[in-house]
Amino acid sequence: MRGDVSITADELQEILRIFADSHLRELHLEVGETRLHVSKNSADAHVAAMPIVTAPANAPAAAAALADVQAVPAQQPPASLDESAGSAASELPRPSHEGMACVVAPTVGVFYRRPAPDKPPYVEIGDVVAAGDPVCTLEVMKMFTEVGAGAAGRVVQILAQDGEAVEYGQVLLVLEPLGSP
Amino acid sequence: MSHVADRPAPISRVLVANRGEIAVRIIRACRDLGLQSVLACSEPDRNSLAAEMADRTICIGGGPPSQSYLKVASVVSAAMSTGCQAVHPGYGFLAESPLLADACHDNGLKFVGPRTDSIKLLGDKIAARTTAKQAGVPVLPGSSVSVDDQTTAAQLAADLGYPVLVKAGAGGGGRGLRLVTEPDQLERQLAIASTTALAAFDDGAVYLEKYVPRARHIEIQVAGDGAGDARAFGERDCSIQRSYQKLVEESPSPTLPNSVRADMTRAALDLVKFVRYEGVGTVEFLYDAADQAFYFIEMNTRLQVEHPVTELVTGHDLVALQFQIAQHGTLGSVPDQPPRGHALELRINAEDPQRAFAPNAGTLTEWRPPTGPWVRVDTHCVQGYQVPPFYDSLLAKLVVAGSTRAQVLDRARRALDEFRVEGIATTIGFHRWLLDTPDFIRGDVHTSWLEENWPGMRVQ
Repeated sequence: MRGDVSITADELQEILRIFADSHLRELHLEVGETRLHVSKNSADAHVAAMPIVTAPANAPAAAAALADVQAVPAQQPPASLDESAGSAASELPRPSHEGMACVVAPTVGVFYRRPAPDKPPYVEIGDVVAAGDPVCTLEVMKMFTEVGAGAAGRVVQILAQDGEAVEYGQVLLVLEPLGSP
Repeated sequence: MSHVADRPAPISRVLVANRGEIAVRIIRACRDLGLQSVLACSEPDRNSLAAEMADRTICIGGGPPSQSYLKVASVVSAAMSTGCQAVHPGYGFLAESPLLADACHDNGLKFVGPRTDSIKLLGDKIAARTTAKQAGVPVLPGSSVSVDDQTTAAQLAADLGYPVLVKAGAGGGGRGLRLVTEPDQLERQLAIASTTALAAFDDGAVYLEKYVPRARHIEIQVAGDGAGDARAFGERDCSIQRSYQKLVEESPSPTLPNSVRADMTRAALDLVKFVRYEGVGTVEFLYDAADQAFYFIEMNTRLQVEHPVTELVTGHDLVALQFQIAQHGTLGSVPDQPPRGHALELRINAEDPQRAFAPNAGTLTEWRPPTGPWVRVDTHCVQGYQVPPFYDSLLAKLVVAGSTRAQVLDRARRALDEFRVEGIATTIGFHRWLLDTPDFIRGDVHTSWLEENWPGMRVQ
């Protein structure tokens, strides 16, 4: 069986899209030696909001998948500094999100999903946004700056957690681009 | 002690707002003291040694310092969002920024450094001159206000007698500093100094000072508790310079007579007590060996690059002392005893001494610093490290200690001979030459000596 059954990067992307659009909260999938675990349960640490892919390093398809999709080690990052809202941002993987439109943090700051505590979030997974639509806000020294989508698209992932300290350049949301008419 | 009550929370986590070897140095002090460290770094420094050593790293912006290390809001935001109680600015970047000190204070963070009023007072070189005078510290003859008009400047320069120095009021690192030897150059040099100062510091104010030829640069390491108590930690002689940038520092000075050392130390402490200085700092003097006279240049309100020299002759950890003062507002149990032995620091820069010390960036294809007895190397470099083009050229500080200067020079030669670097031109060869030069061995040098004597200065 070894090596006979595998999963391509495109297939993995497709699975994630279907999962994102579905009402499922969690998905665990094993294909050959590739294991995929995704969850929308925000109670889990930030890593749970992202798919976990583990695979032998020498499996070509899995390696491609790792390069293409959110990939994090199966174990939690060291927790010594994690008691505050921010989790270890530097531990975050920096995937390429090929074909996706990523919203990245233009500055270091604190990530908020809503314009004010009593307001609904800017976006939810599955929402379609136009280019320039605000999708989150960043607080830098009590100054709040809305961050807009760089391009029109459907929200497929929200990687940062509400109230989390985010780094400059960190991927906050992943949008699936919509073909322009 | 009235300010104890408004001190922020006990410090258990520190934001290190710097890079390179000084970030590594501060993280090590944090480890020694049981403090957690968070490194605020730029994009290209994500994989640096400091990032590896810190308990956590947070990227605050892009490679150019204006996008990261110089952004006050990003630094403060990084500190707050990662639960730090204090910000250590290191040297350079925002270390002497009243804006950062104020922003820290306003947001309940302890700035590891002096109060904002001290930074402002001593950072303005014209105000610092006036303050030093008030404290009874000798200053060079010169102007006590900014010189804006040509006629006043010409009259003042004539009174002082040529040559004169034009200096930037907001100056530092030799920028905006011009030597004028003839009256007909004054107008042009004033304009250049003012323009440079405006570009570098956003402040074009310049002033005039009498130029002392063949002077030495000697500085006193000090610390104050913010309430008027202060200690001195001996001097450092930093006379080997090029373009007003130090390359070699040693303690004690090979030529300073004991009586002058005592007077200089007293003057430095007078200034520190006069401004009720809080934190560690350095009072810089010009020393005119011919007249055995010294004059105040400026006070640096931060940790100095060359602080290890002082650490090796006094046995005091100056970064730990900074945290002691920041946390408790006292100098702690610093014994008032004279330094012992001798120490020498050689700056290993990514500069080509054969081409007038032109900086160069690239990859360290080989990096094997010396080890062994009496050798301390402060560095952020490792084999394969890519020196980014955005920052200053300091790769490592080779610091050697001993009981006598002669012994230190022998050990420094041995250490330099063991230093293996490939891929980037460095100052190692220059230092090896210097240590065999009779003038340096005798201690008979001054701040223009290097530029007059190093053959590589004339090759462009």
